[in-house]
Amino acid sequence: MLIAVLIALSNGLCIGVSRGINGHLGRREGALRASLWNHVVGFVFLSAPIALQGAGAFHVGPAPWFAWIGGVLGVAFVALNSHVVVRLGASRTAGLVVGAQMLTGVVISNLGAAIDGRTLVRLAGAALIVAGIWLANNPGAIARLRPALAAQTGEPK
Amino acid sequence: MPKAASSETILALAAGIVLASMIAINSRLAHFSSPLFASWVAHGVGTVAALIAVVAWRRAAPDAAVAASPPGGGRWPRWIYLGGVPGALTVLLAAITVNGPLGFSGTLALMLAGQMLFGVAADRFGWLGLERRAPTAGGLLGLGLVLIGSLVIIAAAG
Repeated sequence: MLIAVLIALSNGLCIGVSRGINGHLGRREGALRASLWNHVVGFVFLSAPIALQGAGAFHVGPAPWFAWIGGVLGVAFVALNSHVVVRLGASRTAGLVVGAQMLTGVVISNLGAAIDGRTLVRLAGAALIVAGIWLANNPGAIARLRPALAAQTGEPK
Repeated sequence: MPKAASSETILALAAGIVLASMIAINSRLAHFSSPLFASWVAHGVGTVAALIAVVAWRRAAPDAAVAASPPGGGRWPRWIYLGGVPGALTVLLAAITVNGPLGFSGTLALMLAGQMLFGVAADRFGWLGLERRAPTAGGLLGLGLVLIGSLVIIAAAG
């Protein structure tokens, strides 16, 4: 279990490292070219385990046509990340991307679904994310809040 | 005065929306093949799409002075071209842990946490050519709220 936890945590680390490296490359080559390099290198890297699997790797069921073109979105994803991470920093970028990713996930998984208890819990989680995104974008909010709270509770400054 | 959301903020949020949509699409292909094959195809299709985009937007090339030397001076390291390796590794590592005791929810939760922890450390110490930024209380609290909210959503997905 501990090993699985460490692997999953370092997986998150891989996302951050990839984003940082591509951002650095983006400064030199531009965000789009960084995205191109990311996809070429990733394709070559993944070709090794595909080759190891042999012909079995190519057995594909009746997938819908749109299932094949996710890579187009991947290009936009890496380019956007590369542009943003060198400007906002790694932690703010991670917070904003994860926040919007989870919010979108809630929308996707609830399209047309009847509201039940789980939906309400998800909405509560979404509200926390929105609050977090707002706070991350208003770093001075806490500093402004503190004197107001102190005045209310009579806490000495 | 709180400043209006910058264009970078909007772009970062857009990246998250794009990512969630991409995962939804790629997992359809993975369902009919394997996560490895789906990611391999996505990288191949992405390579073609990126080539077209690069040719279409030739003007997007960066400043010549910056391209010659990194902001801190010196030479550009070679590893800046290898960002695709950890990116692709993500798929393989996730395939291992999703099928283990952590399952999908646990894997996703820890990946988000690991990503944020790395972000804070990378900013603090200026890793990978990033500008050094000391963590602020508001920034950390905001990040914590996003993480907790994400965990709540993941838990509710069961």
